[in-house]
Amino acid sequence: MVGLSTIVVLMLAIDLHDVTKTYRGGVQALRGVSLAVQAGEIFGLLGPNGAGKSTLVKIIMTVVRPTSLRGTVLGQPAGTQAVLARIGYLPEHHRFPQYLTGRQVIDFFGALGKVPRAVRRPRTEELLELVGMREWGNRRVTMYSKGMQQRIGIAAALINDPELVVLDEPTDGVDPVGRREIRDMLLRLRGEGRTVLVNSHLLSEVEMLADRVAIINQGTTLAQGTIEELTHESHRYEIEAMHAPDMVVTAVGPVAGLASVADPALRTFVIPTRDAAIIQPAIDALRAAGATVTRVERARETLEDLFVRSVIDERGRAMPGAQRASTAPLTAPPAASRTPPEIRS
Amino acid sequence: MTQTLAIFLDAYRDLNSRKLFWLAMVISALVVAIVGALGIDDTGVSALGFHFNSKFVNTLFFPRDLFYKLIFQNLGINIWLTWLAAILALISTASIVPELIANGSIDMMLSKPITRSRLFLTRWVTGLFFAGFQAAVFVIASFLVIGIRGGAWEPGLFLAIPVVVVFFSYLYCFCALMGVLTRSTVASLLLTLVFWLALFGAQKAEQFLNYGRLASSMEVTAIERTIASRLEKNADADVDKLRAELVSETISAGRWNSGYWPAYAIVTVLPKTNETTEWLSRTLVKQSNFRPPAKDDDEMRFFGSSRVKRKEFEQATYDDAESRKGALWTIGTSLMFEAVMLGGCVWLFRRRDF
Repeated sequence: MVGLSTIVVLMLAIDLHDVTKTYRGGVQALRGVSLAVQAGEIFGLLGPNGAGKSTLVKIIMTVVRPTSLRGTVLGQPAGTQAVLARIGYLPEHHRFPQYLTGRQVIDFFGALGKVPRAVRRPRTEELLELVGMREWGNRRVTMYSKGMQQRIGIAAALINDPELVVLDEPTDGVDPVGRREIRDMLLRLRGEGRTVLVNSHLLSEVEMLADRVAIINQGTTLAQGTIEELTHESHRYEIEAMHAPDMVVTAVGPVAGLASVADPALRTFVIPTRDAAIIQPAIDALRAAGATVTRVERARETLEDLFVRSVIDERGRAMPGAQRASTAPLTAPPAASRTPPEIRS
Repeated sequence: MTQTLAIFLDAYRDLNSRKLFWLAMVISALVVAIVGALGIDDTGVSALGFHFNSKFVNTLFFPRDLFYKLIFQNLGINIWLTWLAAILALISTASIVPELIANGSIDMMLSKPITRSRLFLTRWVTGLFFAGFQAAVFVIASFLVIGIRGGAWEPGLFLAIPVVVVFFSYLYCFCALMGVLTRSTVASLLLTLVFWLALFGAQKAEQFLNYGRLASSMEVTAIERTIASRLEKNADADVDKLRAELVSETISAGRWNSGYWPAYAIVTVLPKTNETTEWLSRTLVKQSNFRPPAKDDDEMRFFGSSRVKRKEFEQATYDDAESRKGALWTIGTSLMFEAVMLGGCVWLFRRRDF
């Protein structure tokens, strides 16, 4: 029997298909993006500048109207007032009214989110504490640094106790200590069962945080899944050996491939496998030939490698006659899927 | 309701933070204080302990309450509230719509569970606060001055508060539309001032043509009356000359009419800033007896007539305005224009991507 918690985990907080957006003037920002974000996970939205990430986020938040969209957010048609009441949002280049204090900003956006006054007051204090701004709550936002404004923005996004938190570049302008605090905060939000969608260009941060990611480029979804799923094909062993004779290089070559020769005496062999048994003959062959094995390491693509490969692959496909850098599959199927309603405008 | 209250509270905080708002308030209070400091007796006027003898400004010519009422009407409403204070209010509030739709600000607003129409209209209404506060402070202070110094308590004065807000709303709806279209505070402010000048010009042209039409029509009637009188007395020596004059004046009246009615039609569809102020003046005259005494023997010379007296002409223009330019025509049609402007704003705001 499937438990309630299993159902909750399998639910999709965001389930969008074929999202397209063509701006006036014919600029196609989105050409059929699909996005499946599971409830209770941290999801990273990645892509180069102009990929369409912000447009997608703005469509979810009703700031931009889609040309066409099928799907649901929090189980309801995207863009409805009921859905918006359950989402917390921090835009990338947010601007708070300059005449408000941090405390008033949180309270104002809480009121706009229909949070009753009796709830807003204590929650504002909690959130100020959470983002480390209690001491600064009564100062006008004009006095805040970028990082402090970001913290107030996050607090304002959380005032309505949202089930889904959408953060566009949440660590932008924040110092390293602040970034770490924001990361911890996002992990805490996930721990509370909330879904977090993070749009960021800081790949290392997303890699540290995200359960799953999607890479968007030129208005289409290039890859989507857990980092493990997306880098599955890139698992490899790297063997570094000193003084490996050419003969051995040739012998190992068919199964391994020479990766790099940084030092004439040092050779690195890359064997595309996650099975340690497969690399043993290569190590034996190297040793038998008198080479000194200095390093054996299990490796896989980083998120940055994956990102760059995805984007380069896409560019390759976009250019006639160009070849893809890799044929590794880039999309992992979502854990749950359904046929969502269609919205067209 | 929570959302509406939040937007209103935010608007109050916004106004409170603007120096211009407080400057306008201080000037309003100062203007009323200066009027309150003026005194009038049967020999002249006094101010701050100084007395100035005057043959024309004294209680023999103006009753004490009328002196203050006329200052309120001519200086307070016709100059301060509907010109200078309105310009200050426009300068202060022109930024509301461009700031609402500025990137970063609008994202946070639109992501909340509030419809775009409601968000825009509520924010727009809060922009009327500036004019409303200003008018309220000025009118309440004037009410006290007229009551204490003039000895007349006139609650009818409070009609000026909503009328001044309505007057300001004509301009502010256009300003909002320009704000949505241009996204620029400076552009929307300048375009609104140009629009206001154009409205002023159109209404003054309509008024000029109306005065000409009325004067000409009255002249025709006066000539006809003179001819009839001469014929009755068998003094028909000048009748031929008068008949020639009548033909000429009738042609002239026809020309005034053919020029006037198109101008009237144009003004009818536009917001009527001057007409609203004049409607308020007429209403205050009726309610609170604001009218200054007219000289019976003053001749009307503006349109070249020597047969129509000023008092008759003023009565005719007043009666004409009362019969054709009531609240429905003056404010009703202006509000229709405003509704169209606001409809355009909301339509654009709802469709726009930010």
